[in-house]
Amino acid sequence: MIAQALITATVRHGVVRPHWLTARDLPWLEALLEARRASAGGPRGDWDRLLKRPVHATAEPRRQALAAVVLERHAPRERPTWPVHPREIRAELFRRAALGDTSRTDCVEAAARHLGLQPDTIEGLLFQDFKAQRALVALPVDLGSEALALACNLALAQGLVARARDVELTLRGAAHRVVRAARLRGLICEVRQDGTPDGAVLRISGPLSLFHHTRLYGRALASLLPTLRWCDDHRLTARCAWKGGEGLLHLDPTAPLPASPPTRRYDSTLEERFARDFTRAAPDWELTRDPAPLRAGAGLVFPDFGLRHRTGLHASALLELVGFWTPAYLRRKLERYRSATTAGVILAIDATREVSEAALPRDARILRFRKRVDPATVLGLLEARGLGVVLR
Amino acid sequence: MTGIRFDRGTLVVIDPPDPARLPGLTWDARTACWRAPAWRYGPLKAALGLPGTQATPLPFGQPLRPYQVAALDAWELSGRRGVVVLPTGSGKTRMAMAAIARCGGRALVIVPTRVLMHQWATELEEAGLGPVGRYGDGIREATDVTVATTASAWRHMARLGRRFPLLVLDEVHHFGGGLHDEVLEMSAALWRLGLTATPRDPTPLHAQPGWEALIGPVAYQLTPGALLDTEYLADLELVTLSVDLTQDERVRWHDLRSGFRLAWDHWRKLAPRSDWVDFVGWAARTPQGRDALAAHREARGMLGWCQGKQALLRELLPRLGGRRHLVFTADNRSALAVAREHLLAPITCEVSPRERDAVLGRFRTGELWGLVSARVLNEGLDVPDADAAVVVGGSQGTREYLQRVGRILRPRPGKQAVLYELVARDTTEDRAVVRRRAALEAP
Repeated sequence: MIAQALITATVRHGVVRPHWLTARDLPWLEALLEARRASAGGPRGDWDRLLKRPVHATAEPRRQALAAVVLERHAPRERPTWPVHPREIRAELFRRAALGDTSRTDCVEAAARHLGLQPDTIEGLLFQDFKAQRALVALPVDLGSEALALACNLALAQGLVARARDVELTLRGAAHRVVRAARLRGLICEVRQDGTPDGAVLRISGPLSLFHHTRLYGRALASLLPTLRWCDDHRLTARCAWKGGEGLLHLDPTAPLPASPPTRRYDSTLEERFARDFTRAAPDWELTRDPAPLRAGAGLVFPDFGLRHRTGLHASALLELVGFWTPAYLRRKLERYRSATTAGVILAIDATREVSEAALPRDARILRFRKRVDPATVLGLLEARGLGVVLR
Repeated sequence: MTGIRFDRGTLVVIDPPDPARLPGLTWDARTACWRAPAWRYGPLKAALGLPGTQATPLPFGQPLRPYQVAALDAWELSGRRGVVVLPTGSGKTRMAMAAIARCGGRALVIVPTRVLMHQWATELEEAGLGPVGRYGDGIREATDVTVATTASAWRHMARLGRRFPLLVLDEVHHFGGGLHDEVLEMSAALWRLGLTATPRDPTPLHAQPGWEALIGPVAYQLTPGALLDTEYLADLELVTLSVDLTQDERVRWHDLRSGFRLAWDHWRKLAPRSDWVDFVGWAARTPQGRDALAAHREARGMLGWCQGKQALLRELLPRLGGRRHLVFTADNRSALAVAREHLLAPITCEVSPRERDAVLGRFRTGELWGLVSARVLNEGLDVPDADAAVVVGGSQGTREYLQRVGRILRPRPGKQAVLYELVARDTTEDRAVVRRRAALEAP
């Protein structure tokens, strides 16, 4: 996440307005890219010094600093090469100097002879592996000012969301993907309907947020931003700590942010492995990833998998992999499934969370797993008579 | 049945009998459960009548000095919670390792830097408390005794917080009022030991609400002054060498200083009871404030590496030939300038752990006589015995000074440690010297 000093935003009437980079910024961004390309190969310290002044008459210092940070994220990682590693040069040179009784020049010449280099080369390479002296790597040729502006805007938005206590999202379509992404990041996600057929309202926070404002989940919250573009429509409201107070940040599809990365089919290796193993072990069953969310009272439930027997010999079922749980939480979840569907439900719970069998709801089909959900156990439950929670 | 479960840095209490009367318990409507921060584990257990934590002490083979035994006893009498203040070089690590052994050998040690993490892990293994896990510097291995950097611990406490009954906080003065205090909140460790040579001033550390609940009170304190004339620290000679700024430097320094004073005095009128941290927060918000901070930084950098000091160093360093010495500068730029000109091995944050260990090893065997550093050698790092230190400049005040002095106080028969302080005459450095001396000689 970027440092607070690089975030430019205004707070007015309790609303945080990021200073987005727009078309007006393109000339100085272009100048920055040009200067950076011209500096490639030179020491990073020179580039850092150059950045202390505006590269263009219209470049505002903090926005330029932000763009410079974002720019480096696009630079490829390259391992520098030297005739002799500076570390070895230092070891040899300082060892000789500690012997005493010789002048600095003699020490440098002796070390150079020993390493097969010229004295000037030794002086030049002495600290060249240190950040300030390391050579700047060339930027990808296809990086343009518009892409850089969008990347800066994403960094700005993420920097603000990273300072959020919690985040509320109103999503249309594919909300389950965002819910799953949030849960995968150890966040707590409350879901309710927003009154439209495919809409959902999510309130996302972390366990410790209950007690005070924390930045602990900032990185995780900020990492959700690119996933919002998976939905047909989205509105984000984040309560951000900003300049000693708090302000609301609102984002919607009109915000000048880059397009999202493609969605991943599975959010975790646990899910991916189960899908692969089950498909192999149970060819008579059709496994659906992300069946549509189900309405349950005022909220929604998001099963992970739908399981349907191809010939209809057995009843269909839903499977949810549950990370966090307490007996009360499981009871509540089952009640919600009961009110939502007539299909059977299997809850797979993490056995590493130690709660006795007696504490679990009696009327549920629950399987415990450690690291891997066994397809044979799921199959056993599916094919058993009177599957799962008998619903309605 | 009533029970407590750790959940990502918090505690979930299952079926609590009387939630309103339990300490710190809050209803979490998001997940339909009663929740408390993990540091409440002890009080909650007691309130619920659950059995206490027992540990079988492990044997600890290393001898302890009388004041280390006293510190350990005082900490135990404080209910195995609290801060132990011992001077640099007096053996805080050994005392803490004895505490870990006494608590059954399961502990999470939290240190501020990666360098310290590796050093602690090595020492714990040498003391027979291994295998030692590490969290930080790209490593994620947890064992019964694990050392973590503060930043890594903060990020991973949701997982690590349940595992260890004892939390050891090295350089504990870094906590208090900061982001990383959540490390303390998210740990369920019943026993907590804070270590420092330089406790923070009463504010903001002790003004932080709940500070004592999170770590405990100062259980034992010994100042450097109390050990200076004992066999446990070397005799110390303090030498102040003053230099003049050049005419150009003085004019520039006055300009920078006036620019800074304008903003500082204005702030002091606005908020007379505020401190430096408040000022920095305020100044960073306006262009004038940022200019003032930049002027302050430049002025300090100039004093720390003025021409007079550079010339004096050329005279002084050759005279130290044959004595193992450390040179401390205000910043990395001047440390590298010293390293380049005087061919002294630098220890800065850019030097890899492998190279740093190799350099310290050569310093230990006498293959190298001098090292130069800005901040890395300041605290915690186990620097081999040195006879002299040259303080060219600093940026962290009295605490940094005491840490640096501690680097040459390791005792040896016949040793006379010397600290040379280079001071720019008629500047703010004059007063700083007086303040630092007073802190060093305090009984």
